[in-house]
Amino acid sequence: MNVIACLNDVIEIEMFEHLGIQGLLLPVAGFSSKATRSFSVHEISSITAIMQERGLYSYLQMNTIIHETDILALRSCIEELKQIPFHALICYDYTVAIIASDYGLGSKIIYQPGTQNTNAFDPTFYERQGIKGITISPEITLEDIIYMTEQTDHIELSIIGHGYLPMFYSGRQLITSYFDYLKSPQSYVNDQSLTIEEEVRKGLIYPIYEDSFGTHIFRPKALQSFQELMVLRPFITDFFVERLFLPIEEYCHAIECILGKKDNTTFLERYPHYDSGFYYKKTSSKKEEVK
Amino acid sequence: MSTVELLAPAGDLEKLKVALYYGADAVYIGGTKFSLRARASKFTIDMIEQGVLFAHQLGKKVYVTTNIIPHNEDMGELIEYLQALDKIGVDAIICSSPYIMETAFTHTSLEVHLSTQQSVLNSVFLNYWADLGVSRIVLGREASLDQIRQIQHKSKAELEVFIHGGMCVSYSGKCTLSNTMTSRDANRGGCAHSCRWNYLLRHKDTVLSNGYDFQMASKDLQTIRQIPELIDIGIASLKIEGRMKSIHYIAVVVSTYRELINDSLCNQRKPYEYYENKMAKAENRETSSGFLLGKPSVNQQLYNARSEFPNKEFVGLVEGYADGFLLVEQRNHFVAGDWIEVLSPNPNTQIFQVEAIYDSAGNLLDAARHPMQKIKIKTSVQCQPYDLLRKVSS
Repeated sequence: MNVIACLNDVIEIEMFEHLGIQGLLLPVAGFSSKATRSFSVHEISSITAIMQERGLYSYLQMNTIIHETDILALRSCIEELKQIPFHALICYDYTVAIIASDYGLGSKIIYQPGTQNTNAFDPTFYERQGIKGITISPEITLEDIIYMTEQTDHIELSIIGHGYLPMFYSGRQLITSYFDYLKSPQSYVNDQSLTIEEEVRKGLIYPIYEDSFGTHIFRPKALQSFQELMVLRPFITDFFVERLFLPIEEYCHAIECILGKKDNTTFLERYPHYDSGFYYKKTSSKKEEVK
Repeated sequence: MSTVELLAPAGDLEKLKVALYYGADAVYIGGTKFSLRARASKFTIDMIEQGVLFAHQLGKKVYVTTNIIPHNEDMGELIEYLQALDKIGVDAIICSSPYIMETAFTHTSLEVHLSTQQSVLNSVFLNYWADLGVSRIVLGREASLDQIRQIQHKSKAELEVFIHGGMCVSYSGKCTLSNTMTSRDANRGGCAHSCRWNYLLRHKDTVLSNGYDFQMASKDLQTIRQIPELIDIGIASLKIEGRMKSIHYIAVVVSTYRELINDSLCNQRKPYEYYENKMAKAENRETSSGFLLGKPSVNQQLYNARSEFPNKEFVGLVEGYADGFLLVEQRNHFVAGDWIEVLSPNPNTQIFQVEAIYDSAGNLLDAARHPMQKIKIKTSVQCQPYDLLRKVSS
């Protein structure tokens, strides 16, 4: 299983290498939302060369929704990326996979749509599309994930197993609109310090983040998968460690725990804002069935 | 007559009949399995068959939503269900799961439409699905008219575009607020509309909002002024949202768009205000044109407004006319002497004054005050079944 961290700066490569990760995530400029940092094709080219020398995989990420007006720029970007020996291209909108396939890069695609990969049946479809892998969506139980891994042979499965996971993506800039409504224009674009709290259930607080692509809301607690990894490790090809909102010290500590270099008990005592997501929380379509 | 389809929602058989009666060319309905909007997806196979028979007699169509993003446990009896839909003559299913789609292709002759849950917003993604055999794509709601025109120009499949009703403020299928906040799965029909709740907005420890007045809800979509351009672009189907809405809402919205579409196709469009005034009788939320005119701003958002205003004007559903009496199922309070407007598919409305009201046993009533009560109204105005009665004034 490859543990993949998110890179903010080229000077971090050495640090992550020493931690023992297998690859780094490089958000592609222009096609990356909610990214702590994104990189131009030129930067990706040089960073990938450094990573190759150090034996690290480079995972490029494009996680925006692709509109008609984005197509030409997307084609141009992928054509340029083709020249770079990256390991995988993670896409949120399947349009990226289709265009990447036009350039012979389909086998490098990891389809990571956030919410769509929730059963053991749809992966057979993506197997036939010839892509590298899919990322299992976080809103299903550990039992369902295990079933998916048992039923899926010919396509790589991955999970985003650590960090603050998004649960909402709007194409609207909801923070900006709110301040316009107040007639008090203020910009909190790309600000990582905003939260919203429910009115009825006080104390339930969710990180909210606005960028040029829209607005994103995140789960109230960060996800950790330390125990679950013992079961999943043999079946999961890539384990992504989400970085947004996490201080670097905590982020590195988490990676060391994921890699088994440090005891996770200490980590969870020190950082109590974690839970197990949907691993043991089953959702329902009907109000009366919710426990 | 029309070259563009007007597609309406139907939460039950009565709404299905009302939608078609008032001018929809097709309806979309949810079965008891595989459908979003769990509370509005109650059509059993027998009910779907009745709906299909009714629609086909009128030369109209019925589409069935199978648009959940399924979990492992949801897939039971999928083949049998799709084959049953095929057997009773359903005109198409609306899917988002590739597996459900491929199962339909493999085991049935059903036509497949792609749900807006896939958030298709460009021609590359659209034509990918078309090449797989999907005949129609429901576009994401985040496309502008210019983008829709570009997509249509390159499209290998029919396009379906939302023109009216409530809108997810999130990209469709990309929201699990409800899953996290209520354990109800938004992408399997359980959405709790958490995006319409009130929140407190903070920056670190500083409160930025005025109490809990931070809201994310969007105004409902209303596109009267964009319909001629959508027709000109060549959109195959104009879709109204709202399987949970009342028959009055469906009748008003469908009949207004029907009239506008017909008038536009005949180059006899009236001023937009005419259609907007008609539509206003059904609207109980503020509306906007969504993304059609570009990226939404504050004007497309809903703040500090009650989300719904109950409309008491709709007083009864006509079931027939006999011996000088309208046979009516009561819906809201009215009394003898009230002036009533008849809403029918005919744009020319009739108005009459209620002379007297009787219960089904023939007893004179001073008022119609019990919802769903069968009553008789003495009048010489002869209405048709599914005409609706609205109180104009007392």
